[in-house]
Amino acid sequence: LAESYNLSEQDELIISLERNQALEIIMNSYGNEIKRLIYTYVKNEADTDDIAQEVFVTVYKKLHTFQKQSSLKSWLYSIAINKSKDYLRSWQVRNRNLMKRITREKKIKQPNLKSIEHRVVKDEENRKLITQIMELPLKYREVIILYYFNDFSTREISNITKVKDATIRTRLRRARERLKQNIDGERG
Amino acid sequence: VRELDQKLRNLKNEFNRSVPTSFSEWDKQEIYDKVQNPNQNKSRGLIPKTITVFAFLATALFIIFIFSKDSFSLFESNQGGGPGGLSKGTPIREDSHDEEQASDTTEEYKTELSRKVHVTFNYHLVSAGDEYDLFTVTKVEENEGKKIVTFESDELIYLEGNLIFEDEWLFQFDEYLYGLSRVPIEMNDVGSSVQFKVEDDIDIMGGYVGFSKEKFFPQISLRTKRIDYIFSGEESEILVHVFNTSEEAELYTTPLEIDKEIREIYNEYRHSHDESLLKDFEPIDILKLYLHSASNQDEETVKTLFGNNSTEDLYAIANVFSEIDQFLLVESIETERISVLLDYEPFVDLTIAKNEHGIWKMYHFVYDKSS
Repeated sequence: LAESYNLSEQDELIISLERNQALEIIMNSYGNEIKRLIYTYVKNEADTDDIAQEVFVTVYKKLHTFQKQSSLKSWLYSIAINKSKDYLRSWQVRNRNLMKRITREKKIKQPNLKSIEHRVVKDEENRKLITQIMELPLKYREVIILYYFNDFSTREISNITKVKDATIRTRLRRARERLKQNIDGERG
Repeated sequence: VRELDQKLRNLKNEFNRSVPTSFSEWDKQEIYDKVQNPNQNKSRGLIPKTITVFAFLATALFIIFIFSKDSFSLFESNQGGGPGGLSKGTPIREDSHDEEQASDTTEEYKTELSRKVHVTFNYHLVSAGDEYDLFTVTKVEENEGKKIVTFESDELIYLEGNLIFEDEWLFQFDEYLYGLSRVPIEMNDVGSSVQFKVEDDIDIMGGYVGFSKEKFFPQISLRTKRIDYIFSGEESEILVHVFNTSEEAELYTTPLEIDKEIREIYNEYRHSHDESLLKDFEPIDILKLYLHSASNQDEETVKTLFGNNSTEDLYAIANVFSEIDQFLLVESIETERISVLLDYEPFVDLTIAKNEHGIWKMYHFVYDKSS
């Protein structure tokens, strides 16, 4: 059964507003983090742009159906995650035809991405850790990012992803173990 | 694992900064456009099929109509050029994004136009004399199924990104897309793939070719005063004419030899730090003096060789130089600045320029200060 959720004052205010106003506030408040979240799934800037737009268009359309069973943030995250996963599924199909191009783009783009990390992440160890996180399989990457970098509890992650809380906790544990193994493996 | 847990908790800000994307006004605008025109990309289910068929036929006839030469010029005279003259009823270019050509695109490297605010023009309406930001259309040529629109600017336009050689020189904007907003883009190409090519018969390319085995030059700044926008039935191409009449490139191999003269001046300069001792130094000599001072761990002297009060690791450049085999000095006579290009990662942005006393100083640009 769906539990009712005590919305924060800000969330209450937002959903009481006219749709355009609500959308503006939601984009201002969550635009950056939603785009970052999408990027961690799709790892591609141009597609991140497209999916982020789709997410906010959906938010605009569905805001009146928001049922207050979670915070607004969780609701937005669940839309963004679903859209990102939909994209990944469709991408796998398109992937076959475009393999050549992707390989080439990957080859070219990689140094550029590394340079970004070099610019913003001074500490080599942290940089490696971030790279390791981004290379984890999706189900582990997802829990690490939502838990550590988006401040969701395992219960909230469970609500967002529609996966059992116990499974999320297990994934979180395994994700940490895997990260540790990878880091130790790299150190030799 | 507990230690890792703590590390992950402390990693939040750095992780967020390392994700190369942000939500911009452009994103907002796109979302509002989609929200306000929800049927833009969809056919309405309520419209009867017969009406849809008629609408489709009418559109097809309209496209054929505007593609005939006479009607094209007629349209032009009615509408006028320039981005400001574009209305919603403006016909769109017959696009060639069909499946056949989509597969062709896999054969070539394409630069995905990032979704930024662009100066846009319309394929059908563009004509000589139109102004698009800093560019003016100087020529529109149609020949053998190709249409080439030439844009020229009195000012130098800087395009920053990566230069890649794959049978020909291609250009890819870097993640900051510096300069892209200056380039006029055909309105239907916004958000699609446009290939930026660079004319290859220029001296500077010779330097680059010799410089790298990989033929990949990250984060360089191309300067241009002219671009040719080429429509050939396939995806659009933009040919960038590199403006480099005042640029010279010289390749150096490392380790750099510190000659006797520099040693002698160093021995004097290290005590006095008297700038006038360096007045006859060339940029390469300053670099040599820096490397020599750094190898002596002479921090005080090293500091004086930087033009900015860098608080960064003053030995970082010396460390990089100990790992590279060669580097390129690109001298811009026009701006009297020397860029040091390293075929190395992480990329070091090093410039050598004269200070107010005419002495060459090193400027080490550090990207992550603001983050």
